[in-house]
Amino acid sequence: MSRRRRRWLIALCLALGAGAMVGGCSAEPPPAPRPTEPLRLPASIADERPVEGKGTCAPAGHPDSAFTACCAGRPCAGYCVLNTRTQVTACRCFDREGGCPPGQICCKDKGACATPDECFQARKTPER
Amino acid sequence: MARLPRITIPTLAHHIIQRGNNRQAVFFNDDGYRLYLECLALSKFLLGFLLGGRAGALRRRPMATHQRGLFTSQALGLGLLLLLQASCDPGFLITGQNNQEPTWSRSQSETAIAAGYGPYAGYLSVAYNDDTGNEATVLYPLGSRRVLAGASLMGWSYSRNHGRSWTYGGKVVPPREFPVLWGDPAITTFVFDPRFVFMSNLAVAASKFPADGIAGPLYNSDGSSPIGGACIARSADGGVTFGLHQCVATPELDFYDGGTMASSIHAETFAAFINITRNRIDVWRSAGADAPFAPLPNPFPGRFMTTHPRLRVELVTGNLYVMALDTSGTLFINRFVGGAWQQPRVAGIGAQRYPDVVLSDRRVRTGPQFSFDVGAPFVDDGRDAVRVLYTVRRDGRLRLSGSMCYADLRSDCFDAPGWRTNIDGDQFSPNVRAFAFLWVEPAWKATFVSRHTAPDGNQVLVRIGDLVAQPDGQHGLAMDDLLNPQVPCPDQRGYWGDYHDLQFIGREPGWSPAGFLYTFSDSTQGCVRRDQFTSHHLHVRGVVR
Repeated sequence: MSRRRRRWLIALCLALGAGAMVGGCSAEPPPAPRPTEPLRLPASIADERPVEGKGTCAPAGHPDSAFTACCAGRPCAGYCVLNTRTQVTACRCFDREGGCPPGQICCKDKGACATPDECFQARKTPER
Repeated sequence: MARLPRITIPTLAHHIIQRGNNRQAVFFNDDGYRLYLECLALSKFLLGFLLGGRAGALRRRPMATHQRGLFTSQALGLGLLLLLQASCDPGFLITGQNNQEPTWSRSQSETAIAAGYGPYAGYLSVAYNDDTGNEATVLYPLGSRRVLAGASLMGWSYSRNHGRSWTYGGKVVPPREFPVLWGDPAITTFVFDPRFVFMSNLAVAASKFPADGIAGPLYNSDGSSPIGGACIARSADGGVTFGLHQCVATPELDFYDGGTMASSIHAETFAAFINITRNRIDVWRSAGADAPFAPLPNPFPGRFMTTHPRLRVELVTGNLYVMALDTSGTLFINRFVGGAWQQPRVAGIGAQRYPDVVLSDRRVRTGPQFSFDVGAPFVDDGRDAVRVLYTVRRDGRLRLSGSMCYADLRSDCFDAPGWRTNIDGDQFSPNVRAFAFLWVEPAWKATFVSRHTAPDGNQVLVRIGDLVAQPDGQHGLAMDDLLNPQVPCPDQRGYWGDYHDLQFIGREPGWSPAGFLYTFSDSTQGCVRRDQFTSHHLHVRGVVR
């Protein structure tokens, strides 16, 4: 392709592109901010690491559907998290500190505490 | 420098040397060299020539900023040109095209696309959950369902003409050790040699399978799942026929979910699943078309992962990327390079898992709410080589947020506020794909599901457009409607937006001006209600933009 032809093609593309920007079918005008600093986790998340529980006090529940653990010697309807700053291990079920209340399980599919029946109904995958 | 036209003799090998003037270095950094290789690969793809020799002998010189800017302008112009030509066409049916087709009387849903490049441009394979031919193995007595040994949802269709026509491929027969092949399809191919296509589906393990079949949903009353791995089928004829290649599972037959696959141009193939039993992402690798899959180390050690993973492979280097969400709602990404995983990086914060979308009189369940791809960066420092869209909850609605990352993941990713959606209603289920066009750098395409036309109604539609970024870091979304609004099925178990796929498929002059294929579960032809658990869209539809 000759240089002249290439220049012409580029100009055409740019012109058509500009035209599309103005006359496009309900296109959202692209805003133009710049990327900010690297994403920073909130301290409450950054300081915590899930860890394996210890002991045999975990409540009943199948790992295919629920988190259960034995955290700091206590049954945990959830999983154990270690605060790397304070070195304290605690029970958590997603955003609920302390794990789930009695009668509920930490439902993996729901991403929250739920009764076993709610967890059953919440199951989204696999395709059924 | 002026050149006389070169002599070109068809089918004859041409010896081509590219070097700097006075043997000066051509590239001084990896980004420029990578860009060169990508352009070379793309030229090969578009023109379909065979390439021998070695590109590694080239020396490096950085590309001037003004050249990068020119590339950017060209890509932006072309991208917007494509938008100008587009309209909300209804697309075409991939399955259930007419009542003579075997797929007509049963349902197909959940989709994944594999596309060939180069001499095989226009070769497409689409995998989906296929209920065709299951009359004897998936029974629907009143108000229930029973799945018997031999049931398979592992079906596919293929096209040889950029999707203009489709042929039903059939179903993969389950092996004895995994007597049921179930959902979550994934498919991939070696893009420059798409004779080889790999496809995976979840699989029920024989040792977890009740003798009289599975009644109701595919898990047991104690919370366990009979699914104990996944099976991978292989085609050596471009997706026309598939045969079982290998089933992958842990020794304990853990519950696998959410398949995803990707291949490099170096004939490596990867498959990944969430191991729900152990809260981790299990990634498997095959070193070649005939090689077995073997497990890779855990990409996210010390995290409990909770969603389907997604895999992407960088086209030229073949480096593998994996992304998934953990229990804290943090989206993590990692890269497999030189035989090891790097340090996981944060790619998103506050991401949604599988939110239900509440319409006016029904709920729509959704799948993983993030997508990403790796391609050429447009920002000068290369921080946008990986681009991410993910769903968050903002102002009481589901909205998309964006981030961008260096290809080498040297830091956590960067927030990209320009890629947030801020239109009416909910936006969810994003897809991101990098693509390339002529001699310009690859550009970026994205889709998502939106309710902006009726924020409180029952309609959803798909939008498509460009993830735009400029050398100075400015960035934004330029989106347009891809599909006309449609009403999802009136059943809480129905879903929309899960396993919709988006792939660059090349172009066919005179028919497809742009060459992106989007596939989805179509609800415009009505819904099927077979029992309280299964009610979903009838057939798979595609649209090219």
